[in-house]
Amino acid sequence: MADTNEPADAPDRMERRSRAYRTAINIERVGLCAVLVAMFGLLILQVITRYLFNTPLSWTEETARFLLVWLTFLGAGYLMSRRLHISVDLLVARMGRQAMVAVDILATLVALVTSVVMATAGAALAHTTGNILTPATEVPMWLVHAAAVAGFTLIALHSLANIVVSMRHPEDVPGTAAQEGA
Amino acid sequence: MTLLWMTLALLLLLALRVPVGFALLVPSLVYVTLDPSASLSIAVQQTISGVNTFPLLAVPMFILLGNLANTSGMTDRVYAAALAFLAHIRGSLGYVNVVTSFGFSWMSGTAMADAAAMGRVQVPAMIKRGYPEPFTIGVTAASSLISPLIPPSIPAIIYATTAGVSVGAMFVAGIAPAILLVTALCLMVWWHTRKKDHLREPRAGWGVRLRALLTALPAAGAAVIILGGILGGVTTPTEASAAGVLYLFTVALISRELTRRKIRDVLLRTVETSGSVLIIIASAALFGWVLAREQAPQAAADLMLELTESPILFLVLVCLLLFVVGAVLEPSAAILIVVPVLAPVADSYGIDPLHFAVVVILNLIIGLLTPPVGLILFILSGVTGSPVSTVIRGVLPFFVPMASVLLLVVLVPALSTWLPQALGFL
Amino acid sequence: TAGEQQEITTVSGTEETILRVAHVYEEQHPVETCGLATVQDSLAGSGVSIETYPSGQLGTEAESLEQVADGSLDVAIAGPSFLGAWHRPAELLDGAYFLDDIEDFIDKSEDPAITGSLTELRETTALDPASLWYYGTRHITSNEPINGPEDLAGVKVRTPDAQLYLDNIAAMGGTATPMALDELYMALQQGTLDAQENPVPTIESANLFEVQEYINLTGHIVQSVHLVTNDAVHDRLSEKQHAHLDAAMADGAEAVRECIQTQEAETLEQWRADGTITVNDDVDREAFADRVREHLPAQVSWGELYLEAQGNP
Ligand code: NA
Ligand code: NA
Repeated sequence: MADTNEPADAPDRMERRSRAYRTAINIERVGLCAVLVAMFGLLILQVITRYLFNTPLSWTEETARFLLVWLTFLGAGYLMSRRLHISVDLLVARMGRQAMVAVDILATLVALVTSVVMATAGAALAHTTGNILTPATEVPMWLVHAAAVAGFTLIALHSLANIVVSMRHPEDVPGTAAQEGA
Repeated sequence: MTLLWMTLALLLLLALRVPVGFALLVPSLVYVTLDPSASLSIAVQQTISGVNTFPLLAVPMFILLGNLANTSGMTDRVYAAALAFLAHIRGSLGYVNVVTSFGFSWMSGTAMADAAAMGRVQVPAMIKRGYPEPFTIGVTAASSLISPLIPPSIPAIIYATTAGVSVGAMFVAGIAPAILLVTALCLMVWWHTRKKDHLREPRAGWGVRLRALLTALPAAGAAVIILGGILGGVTTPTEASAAGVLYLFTVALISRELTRRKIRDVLLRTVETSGSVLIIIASAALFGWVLAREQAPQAAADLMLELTESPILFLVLVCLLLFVVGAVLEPSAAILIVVPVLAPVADSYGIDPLHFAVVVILNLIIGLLTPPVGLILFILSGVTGSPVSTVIRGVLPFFVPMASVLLLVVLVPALSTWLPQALGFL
Repeated sequence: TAGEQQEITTVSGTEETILRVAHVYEEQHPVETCGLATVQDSLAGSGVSIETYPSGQLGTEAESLEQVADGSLDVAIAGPSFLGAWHRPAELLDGAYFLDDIEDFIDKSEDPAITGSLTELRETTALDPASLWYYGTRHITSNEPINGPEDLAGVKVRTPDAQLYLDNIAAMGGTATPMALDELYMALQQGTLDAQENPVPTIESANLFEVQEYINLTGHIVQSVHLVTNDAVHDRLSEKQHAHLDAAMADGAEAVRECIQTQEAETLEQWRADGTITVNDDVDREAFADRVREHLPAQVSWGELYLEAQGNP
């Protein structure tokens, strides 16, 4: 969950250190905001064309749905870079610092492996059925599958970065500074 | 067997602070790998499919709406208006807390947005004025649950898409229970402050009140657009949420409340919160697919019907089950997983689908306040700086009013079904 | 031998082969209660049985076909249009006004144009359309009467989520929007859509008559659905069992056709009598058919086939 105390764009260690990483994160964020704004625009367009001009469009719904899929998976990638995924803190909160760091690395490793599996399987899905065209917009399905591939690849990369940071700077692991956030 | 080890694996992963979305994915992927006829591609297909539905577009839109209301000062205006009218009453800030949440609930689809906003403004104000910290946090936490009961509501949207119930009907079904909750929480405030005469503020004059009311009035516009659009058949709930966003944005631009930086913050925060909910919905869809494939719905139905023939007893059993489920799962994920299993069973007991829906949602959002996955507990601890243990201590007494409301909702179906019926949804 | 061994255990009933069958229709729909129930009965004693997953529990039509293709599912039920996503000509049966009525359906389902395209589908993909079932004749429901193409102008009609359904409605003169069946009731109630098209049993079981004023007897598609399996299913069954399965599906086809025909007639009769929804008989089917013959063939890859098979080259 977004910590509403902090400004929405407080950079973490990797972003402060590496300009390239910071640029990458910024691209992700701009992309995500663009997807959100486009979704909003499509919904408004849908209402306007239906009620004001009485010329309903057939493609707004499908396009908006596909943007939601992209928002979901790209968003999950970005969330991993900021360690903002919803997780359960209560048990870990009772642990010592070292144990906490170990558990954090383990949990991130689980996310890393899962993401690699999902990204690979997503690519396989795009390979077998990606050429099927979607009904309303007639774009190939792989454009939708690609959201999962891109998202889980990002998650994998960010979790790898997080593991490295957690090993080198255990004080960055959420909770170790006695600050709790879901 | 499959269901048992999958549940245990889920719990273990959650305990190890594996993000909820991944904790749902891992056992599902293991299942798919172990079953020679199931494939990983299909796992991805079902994960994507979980968020590839039109009604879910309302999730980011409702979150955007709530963030916009907070950032554009709309929430503060509702707070100021509530304060102007209630200040002189004993325990006033407690009532203001509840009433502001009620006002905010018409613009917010989640309890999380409410807890974050109220926690930042009202908790420090109340503590400064001498309200005990645990009580302050308790009332803030409990009143945040009004949001998902009043339209717009993300749990209601997700429930409606999962169970095939009308979203409009679902939305109005929660209103009476929400008002009941407001009443119960006000009683709680009264009980706590009945002997504390110092907990009151100077009475505001009618001039102040009128001005506060006028500045807060635009907030009502959002409710009118959203509810009016849905009930009037002009927009789907999804489109209504976008229209609400357009309205709040216009109001904020006119009153010059939005800077470019604020807009950027609103968008980013919306992306972050939506993303964290949506990935759980996607993963839960896969978990739910595995349950369906293992015929869990049929098994649950057989088991329940064997245990009892009484609808009320069935609902009580459901409440107990959901109390446990709600304690470990985020409400949207829980709805996606349990509703396809339980809703058909409820049907066979002759329970009204809307009645059942409200029971499930109320149950699961109460889970937001129970450890270990009590999101509201963590959010309040985060925004107020109080340790989680203090937050839990504060919330504990509020389970009395919440459980009472739940019990009434279980026993009196009309609380959930009368309004939708009166408005022609049934 | 091992084969005989398996045969014996099968006959003694200890090792039943269970096939997962998924579809998006409700539990009360004739496909489930009549067709699949008959299949299950016919399979008794063969060592094969089916387990059904109604109401889209395992996914949409398109998704269940993908699941069959990769072996996660044994049988999917999906209309020709969904097969068209895999091999275009396989959707010919779903072309609007291609078939006149159920007799025409029975005749043309043996037509080389149809069987040929299905053989091509079998050869080029992992899908095997094993049995063709009558699903009902599609009519448009709406809030204003629709008598001819001009009445469809600017009307937003929901169709299933497949390309050809959209092309059909466009060729008939309307604006099509794809949407999942379980979101449809709400969208009509909320006014996101003006109209939809489905066979009578679906209109009945999904309570669509509650949110629409008219059922216009456009009869634009004599709808069939394929029971689609894959090679993995064949490999799991002995030759004898495979023959059993084919016979059982044929029994199901016959049973479901009777059930649906009866239900269509009875429901329409009841609606006429009690006015649940106004039955509009004044539809100019010829005008629609002419417009479709003019517009559809140019939109699809099998346009010539469509005109030829109708004897209208
Ligand atoms: Na509050
Ligand atoms: Na709300």
